[in-house]
Amino acid sequence: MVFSSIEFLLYFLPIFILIYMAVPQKLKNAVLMLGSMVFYAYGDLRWLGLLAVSTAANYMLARVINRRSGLIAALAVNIGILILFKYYQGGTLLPLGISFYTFQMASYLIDVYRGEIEAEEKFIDFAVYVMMFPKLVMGPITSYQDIRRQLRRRRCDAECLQDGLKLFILGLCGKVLLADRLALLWQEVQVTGFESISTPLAWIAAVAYSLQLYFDFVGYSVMAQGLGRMVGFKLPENFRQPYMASSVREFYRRWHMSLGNWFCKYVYIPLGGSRRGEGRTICNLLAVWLLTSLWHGTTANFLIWGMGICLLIILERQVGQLWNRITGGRDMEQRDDRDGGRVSPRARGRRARFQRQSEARSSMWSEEGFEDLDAEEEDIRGREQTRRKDGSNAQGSAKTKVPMICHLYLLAVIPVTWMCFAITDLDQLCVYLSRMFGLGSGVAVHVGDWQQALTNYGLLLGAGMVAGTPLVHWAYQKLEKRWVGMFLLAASFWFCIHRILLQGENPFLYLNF
Amino acid sequence: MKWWKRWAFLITLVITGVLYFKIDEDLLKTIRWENMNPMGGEKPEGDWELLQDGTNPTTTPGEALPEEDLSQGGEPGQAGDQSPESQEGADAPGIPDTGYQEPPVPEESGAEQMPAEPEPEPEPEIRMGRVESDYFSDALFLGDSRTVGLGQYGSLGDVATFYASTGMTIYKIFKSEIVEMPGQQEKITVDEALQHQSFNKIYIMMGINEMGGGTPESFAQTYGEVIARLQELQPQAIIYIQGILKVTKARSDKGDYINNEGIEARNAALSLLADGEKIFYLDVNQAVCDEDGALVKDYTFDGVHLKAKYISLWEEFLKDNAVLLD
Repeated sequence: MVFSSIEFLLYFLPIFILIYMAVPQKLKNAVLMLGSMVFYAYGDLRWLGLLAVSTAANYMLARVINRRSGLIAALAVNIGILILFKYYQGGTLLPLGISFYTFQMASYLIDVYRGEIEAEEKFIDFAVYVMMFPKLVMGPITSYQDIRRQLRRRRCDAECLQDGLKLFILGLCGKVLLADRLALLWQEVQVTGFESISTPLAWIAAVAYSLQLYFDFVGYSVMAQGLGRMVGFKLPENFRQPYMASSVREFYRRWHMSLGNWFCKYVYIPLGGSRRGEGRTICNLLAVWLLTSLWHGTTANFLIWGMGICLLIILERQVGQLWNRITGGRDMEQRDDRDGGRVSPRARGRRARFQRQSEARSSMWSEEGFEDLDAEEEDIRGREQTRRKDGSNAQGSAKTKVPMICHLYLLAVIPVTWMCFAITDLDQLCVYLSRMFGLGSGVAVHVGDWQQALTNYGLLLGAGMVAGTPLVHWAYQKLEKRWVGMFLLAASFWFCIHRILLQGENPFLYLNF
Repeated sequence: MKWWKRWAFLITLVITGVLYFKIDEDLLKTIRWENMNPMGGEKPEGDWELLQDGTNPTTTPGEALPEEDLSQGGEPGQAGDQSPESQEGADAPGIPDTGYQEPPVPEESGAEQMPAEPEPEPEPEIRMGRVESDYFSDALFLGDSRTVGLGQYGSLGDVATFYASTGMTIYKIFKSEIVEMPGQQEKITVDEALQHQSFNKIYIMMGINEMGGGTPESFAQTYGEVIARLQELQPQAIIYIQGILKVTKARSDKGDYINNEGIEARNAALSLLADGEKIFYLDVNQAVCDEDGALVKDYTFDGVHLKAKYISLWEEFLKDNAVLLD
């Protein structure tokens, strides 16, 4: 079931929420688990068994594993199943959400083995962690400690429910009103054929796709957070206005953060992170991006995409160092600190829960119990902000002088990388890139096509660009508690329903991964 | 806290919903009604109707209307860009002399009647054959998104007139306001436009959007009514019924109402509308289908629309299968 479908919005969700709110605290987890299974079965009945078996097996494995070899074997089986499905028949049989839930269970096994958390005793609690429908099919990839407390005790009341619903609607708008409509431009370009588009249109379409992919996924992630909130959970944030970044490196710290954090914690840091010299760092980055490419798909284009990103990140590092050497601004140690950002202290072995949380960025939730939840949350937010401010100051030295150039560089380079991501056929990819850079001549190009695209989609593209800034978040914070904000959100919800009725629902792009 | 304050948002949501559906009742009803009444027209946009409403404004270039619309055509160099592609099209498998159903019969000048009435008058014999672009300068193309593509990416876009729009169907071809007239803000209907304009050839390609409803017979009947009206409006014009372009095998096998068997059945019914005098049936599929009778996979991205690069195959077919007037 897709979040942005009538079945989900007008049938599953209201019925589920009614039952969920009605049952006593003790039964909520069971209801959530069963509801999630219904949700999953509706989308992919064939592999519900795999999900259930995999959940049960990992639940038991975590309780018995105490040796490194055991952990490795368990991980190999989990990841092996994932790889098998990714490769088998070109991934056409990929079970719904497998990339996401496999990574979650892997993180769980590793964390239990490392002793960071205790293995869960109650099967239902563990099953809810894996299967809860808000995040089952497309993440965010949540670590167990992020929601462990909430699995036992969480606040489910009118306030949570409605706050969650509001957030959900915000995400729904992103998906239905922006992503799905921007998708038409990309679709048009594909129908026309890449060899027949003008160079300006190639760029416009690449920008449209960049925005489409973003709102598709951020829309989903915000919906997931909202749904989580409705049932009493606080799921980690997955995006932080990535298009506001001023380097590729920063972009991927703001894009699909839960996946980035996963690779950071379980691959990059164990390999030594950025603290074992430049050569080793580059190798580690390569390893992370190679795996990231493979996670997205097994076709060559993802490899090109991932390696391209990796190359850019490495270049950015070199340029940054060079810049620092020229300006004499900072020594290596400091640079490394800010480069490592959230990770280096952990690598040094600081395991304080507190620290870890503020640094793992994704976890906005504390484990300190929910009574003083809001105070706690504000505290964390406050700390985050201070830290972010520090971060930006630290990064500032190089960037404040040329911020605009950095930003423009990012905005120019990211759409190109997304084309490598979007076009799975290599020949077609070459055609597209050659159109973007005006190499060779097109076939049957309609010269004015881009003006027409701008006439039809200009407004939408503009809206997308504005919505990619922190402005929407800011307005949402300001207005969500007021009547006018509530009215706007409510009206948007029905407008989205209207749009879905007219155009039919569209699956999410990241469902393919 | 008062209960209504506690539940403020849910209450707002419900009230807004009730209001929304109250205001929009008609529209929502229309959607359902149209779903259930295929004769009434459009289904919700599906994947064969990609381009949104208004995406491709119909333009009327060519000699009938010398002032060209700014948003389309008009760019210098466009014709030049397309010349290599016409070359390519010439090598394409356009099979002449098979595009029409009836054997050549004497032409009848003022035929406004339906096909069933043959009136043998001694007139010059009708010959089919190859023509060049200028043949289309007094031609009109009526159609849906596929014809929009023909007008946009084919070389005929500069020569002929196109009254085409995404999602167009035979049921609403006269009702929809899709024709942009120069110097006028409001678009007008095809019916109105044809009262002011005159064309000697009218090419029609519609039918893919109509697949979801009706039978081949009911579809062909409406099609016949449309032709009758066209003949009323443009008695001098030769009318070309273009058989519905097929879809790829993959698209056809997808399991919904868009499939090649259905298209074949409708094309068979359409071919019966031809009278060989003023109305001719052309089956464009010969030029773009493989041996299984499905649209060649490489020619399309979505299985339904020809890629711009292959529009020339369609065009060449039309050039090869024209009624020679002299």
